[in-house]
Amino acid sequence: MSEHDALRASLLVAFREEAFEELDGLQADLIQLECAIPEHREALLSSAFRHAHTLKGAAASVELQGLRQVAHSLETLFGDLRDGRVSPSAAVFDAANRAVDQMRELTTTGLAAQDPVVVGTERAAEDAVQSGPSTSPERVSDELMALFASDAAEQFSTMEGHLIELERAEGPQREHLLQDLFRQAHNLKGNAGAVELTDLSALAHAIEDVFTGIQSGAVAGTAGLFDVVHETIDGMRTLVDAANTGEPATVPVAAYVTTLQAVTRNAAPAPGPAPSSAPAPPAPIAADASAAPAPGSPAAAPAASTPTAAAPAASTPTAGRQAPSADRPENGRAQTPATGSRETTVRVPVAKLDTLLVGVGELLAVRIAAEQRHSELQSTVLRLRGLEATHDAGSGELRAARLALEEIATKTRQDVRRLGKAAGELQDGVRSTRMLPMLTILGGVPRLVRDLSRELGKDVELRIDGAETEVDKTVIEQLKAPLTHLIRNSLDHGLETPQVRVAAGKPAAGSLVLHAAQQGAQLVLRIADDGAGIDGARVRGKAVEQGLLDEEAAGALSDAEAHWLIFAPGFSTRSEVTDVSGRGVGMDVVRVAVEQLGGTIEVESTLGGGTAFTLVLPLSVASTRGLFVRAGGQTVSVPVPAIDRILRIRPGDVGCARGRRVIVVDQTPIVITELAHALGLPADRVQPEAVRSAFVLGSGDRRVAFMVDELVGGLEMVVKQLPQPLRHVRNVAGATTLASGEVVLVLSPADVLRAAAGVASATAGAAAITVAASGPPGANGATGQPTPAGDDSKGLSLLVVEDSATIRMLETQMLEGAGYRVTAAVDGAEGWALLQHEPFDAVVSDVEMPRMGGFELARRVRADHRLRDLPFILVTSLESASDRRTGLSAGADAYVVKGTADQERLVETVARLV
Amino acid sequence: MSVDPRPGGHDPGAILAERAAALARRDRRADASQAGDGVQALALIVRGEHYAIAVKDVLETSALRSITPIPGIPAPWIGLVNLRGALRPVLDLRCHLGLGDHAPGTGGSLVVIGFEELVVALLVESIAGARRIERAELRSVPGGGASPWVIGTTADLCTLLDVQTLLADPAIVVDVAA
Repeated sequence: MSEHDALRASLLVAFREEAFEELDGLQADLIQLECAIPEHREALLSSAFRHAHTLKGAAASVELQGLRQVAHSLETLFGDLRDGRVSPSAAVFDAANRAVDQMRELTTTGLAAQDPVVVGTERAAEDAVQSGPSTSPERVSDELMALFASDAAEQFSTMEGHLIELERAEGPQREHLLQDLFRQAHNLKGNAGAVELTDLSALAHAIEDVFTGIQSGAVAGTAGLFDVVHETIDGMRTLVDAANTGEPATVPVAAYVTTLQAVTRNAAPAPGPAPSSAPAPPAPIAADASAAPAPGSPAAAPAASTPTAAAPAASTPTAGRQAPSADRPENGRAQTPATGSRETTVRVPVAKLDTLLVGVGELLAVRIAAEQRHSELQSTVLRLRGLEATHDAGSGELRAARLALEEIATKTRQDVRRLGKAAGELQDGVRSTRMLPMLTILGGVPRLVRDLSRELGKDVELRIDGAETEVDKTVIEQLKAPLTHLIRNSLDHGLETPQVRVAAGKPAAGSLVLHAAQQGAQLVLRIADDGAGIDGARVRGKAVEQGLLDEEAAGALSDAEAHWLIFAPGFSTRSEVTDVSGRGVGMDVVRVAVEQLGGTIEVESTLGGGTAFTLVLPLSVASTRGLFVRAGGQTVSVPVPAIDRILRIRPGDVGCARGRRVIVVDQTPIVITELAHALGLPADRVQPEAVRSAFVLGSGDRRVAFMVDELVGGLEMVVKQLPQPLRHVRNVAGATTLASGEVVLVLSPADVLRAAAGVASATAGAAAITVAASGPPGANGATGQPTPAGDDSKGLSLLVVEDSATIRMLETQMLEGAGYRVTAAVDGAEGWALLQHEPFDAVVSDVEMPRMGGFELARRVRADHRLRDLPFILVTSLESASDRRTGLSAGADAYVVKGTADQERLVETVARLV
Repeated sequence: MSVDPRPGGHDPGAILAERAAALARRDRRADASQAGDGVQALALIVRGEHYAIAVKDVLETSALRSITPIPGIPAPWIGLVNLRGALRPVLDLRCHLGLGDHAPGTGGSLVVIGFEELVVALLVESIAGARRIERAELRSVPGGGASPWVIGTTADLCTLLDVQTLLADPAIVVDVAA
């Protein structure tokens, strides 16, 4: 090809790269623009303008006229938007997005200018520019409506909460509640008027009258009345939603108003009207609210039997009560209700927080990359040092250069540390902004319980503890559905009717307790009832019936294992499908939802005594530490929080029990298998006498040890969801991208555990859903211990001082595997304290640690006359000669560098010195 | 192993030649093409055969770097690839085209296609530039069997595929109940 063509070709390649970057930026700006508030639009439009402008220039330089023209149209459009000549509307954004798509296409294939596709785009962009403001000035602005909607949501929640309290309140508290209710309704009325929602205003006014009536005693606060008010609030919610989304509302406003007015005017209150039977949007209330209550509604009986004229609600046995609890949730109010707090908070669209979190994730990835650069620097220094020996005769220039590079390496290390610290703090900060109190989803529970209990004819006392516990927003959102299901289940299947309960010697009112608490980095949520409990026999029978396992296997399950069957897919013990808890898909869906969040769910139950579900979830899902391992020829990562421990397995440690290979940990036999097998990968042939590494997942009896080919190391990782349409892939929770760009799969501990249960069984004929077997070891195999006190034991004890938990674990296991007794400390200060109280035979210490580092610790040890001769080994990634000198002069006996130190080296060094 | 973020690993010279030819064709049949019902398509080679997909569905193209396999994932999926920071699932087109088994074959390029929110990377042998295909020239191959994602084959044996149908097919969704 001619020189001109060759030049053009290489220009095109460079252009494409730049163009895609600009297009990405432009696309991102457009997306943000669509939902941005006016204050931010200008900055976004300027940025979009710049992108379009750059694209225009670049396209012109490679003679892609079509592209140039589209970019020019967009440039003009953005300018007009910024100066107010064009109003942002959905049509405008559609046109702009289409233009970006077309430009992308053009960039990919580099079409000529005459293509009709290009012309069409220009026209569309021009049309968008010409179309004037499309919103009529009378319509209320979207921002105002959104603000109103969010205020209204808070008001609805508050009113609901007050109403529930009001039902059993008396005396001054009642007064206080009524006044506040009136105020809420009054404010709502005013706000609704301001955004021209006259229907809503009318409803609020009617409710106002109800409260005034109750206050004056003209209206009696019966359960039936409260039902009506609750339904009206639901209707108002629907109205607000409809107004916010612009869709037509289908709420029978007139019917509500009439009912409320009728109720207010009647001196004798009406008995309970027909409650809505479905959880769907409320059905319209019949105008004659005094009609007979729906069949089966328990509200009818108590309401009719006790004349309720002006009697406080407390004397009416309402179906759903909320017992006083130490931490009664302030319904709907995430912040303190004091108006003063309004100034100190900022409303932030969640999308912004998510963007921030992604940004922080990137920052962490950069830190990981920087660490890698640093170690690359160090290896370069090593190489130079090697070269010095042979090439530097006389001038010493090479040596000077190498020393300079070492300086840089040291400074880089310090920079990386600072970056890591800052990024870590930033991450914690951003994570905390995404934290919401559990109240967000627990706040709606009293109402749910009240409605359900009335519908099912059960009497329930509800207690909620720990609603202020803060959890990441994503976890909260995804918990909502499973939580609702568990509560419905408890009320439907668990708790018995008052008659049955009394006959069984239990109090007529059933108890439902929700308890949320933070335990380390996890949320522990417990939902317990004192109902009928799970019938183990029925569950087993149903499982056999549904072909989940055969009779013999079902019989072999312990009660605890049988209870776990309710989580199997498709399971249900109810012969008929009830509307409340639906078909037997419920528990399985709950389990999957919990596991997708990286959590676990357990069930405990006693027949006749009750059932308790315990959910354990990570508090935050932003980033987590991963243990990277190699198995079956592939590198995968396991989330460290799920790892029970890491082991070194020697051939003699593995025994056999019930047809499976097991090892003994903490005097308990647990199943051991190859990770490669569990994942369905080809396992490499391994020398039978080789010592293997393994990690343990699970808890208690259900633990499984997984052998791997290599433990690569621990890294902070941001786990990304698998892209659609890969919704759920067996064994894989997600994927993470390393600094090198390599993609590594992140395993799902729950799936892998299950896979192991399936794979490890030899002759047991266990079904796919059963738990790992745990029983006494059989007589047909030697069972050793991975942490030996056997013939290899040297009876020597070591102190390992290391601030990184993963490395601490690794070193401990390494040294224990070699026969030493190991005690670990998290930093120099703790190590020093331990040294004062216990005798050790050697110290293995990291250098860079908080509170007290390795050098300082070594100096202290040497200065102490009792410890002066204690063998002291520094294990660190500081590689420079000056660091080494500092370490040795501080009193260390050996200086082992991480990265070059593999297992044998450390163990060897220790062996040499003790 | 590092990931090359640059899209378009195919020969620029070939594209320019193709464009020139296309322009020449267009000049001759200028009237016909304006009135005709045709599609601007990206030509691909899969296992030696010629295929094409509409340019409007193509988001980007890239030379193949490294794919992270997902063990046990059902066909037509292979694994994941990192394209300019985004994780994309990789689909082996050969499965949809009935072209032989799932064994790792020769793949040299990735074509990233999108439909609604779904973005997928197609593994192909190579990219053969752009071409315009008129609907009138499409025929179905006798005995080839009807696949919903095959629109037709041209006289010079280039088969046009319907990306949207392919991506909308619920059978490609992986939702394995553990």
